[in-house]
Amino acid sequence: MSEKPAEKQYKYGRTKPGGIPAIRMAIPIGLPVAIAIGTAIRMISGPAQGPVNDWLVGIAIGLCLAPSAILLAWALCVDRTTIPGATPNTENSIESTWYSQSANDAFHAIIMGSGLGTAITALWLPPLVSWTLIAVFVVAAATFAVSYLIRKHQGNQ
Amino acid sequence: MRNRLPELRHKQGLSQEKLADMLGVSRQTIISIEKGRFDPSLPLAFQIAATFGLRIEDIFTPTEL
Repeated sequence: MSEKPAEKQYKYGRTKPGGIPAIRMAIPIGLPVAIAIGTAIRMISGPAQGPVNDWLVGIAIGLCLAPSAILLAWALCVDRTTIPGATPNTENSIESTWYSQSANDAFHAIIMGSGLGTAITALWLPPLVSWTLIAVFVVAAATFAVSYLIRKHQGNQ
Repeated sequence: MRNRLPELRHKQGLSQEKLADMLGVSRQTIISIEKGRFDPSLPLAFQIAATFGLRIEDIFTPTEL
């Protein structure tokens, strides 16, 4: 009985075990999306000064956005288990703990910074600065409250 | 938490990387557990115990207060 040949590994993984390389799907998805966004940005940014081809400008903006769009498409397409060297149980690894603790620190820094910043900037800077910091504080606090309530509800089920 | 992980690992001739691969975690995780800087999750503790054929309490000992 002949043995099944080992599956070829791709550096950026596959869409699923035995599937096509994820990068081959990410580029055809990410590139048109980036160009569409670039074109939309050009269209909504108002009339240009001087003779400008809007489509060319939109495509140029899209090409600048393309790496990010392709990366996002890849992240959505790839099956993590097919990436060579990827740690299977990241939830049990210390890096996951470091991430959680760092996110915790960042949240508290944002809450304190935006809160104190609102008070301090109200004394010397235009009101827009204070209002912006208030908005940051409210969004951060609301996100925390909603997340806490959801987890509490799930924990009580 | 104190543990016998380095001793057990050396007995079985396992490198930190090899043990990490067996458990599906990063090598840094094994390093941190052995140094007592990181306590494994309960599922990981059970996995470690099963890997060495021992009970969890045979490997890990709570640090006395």
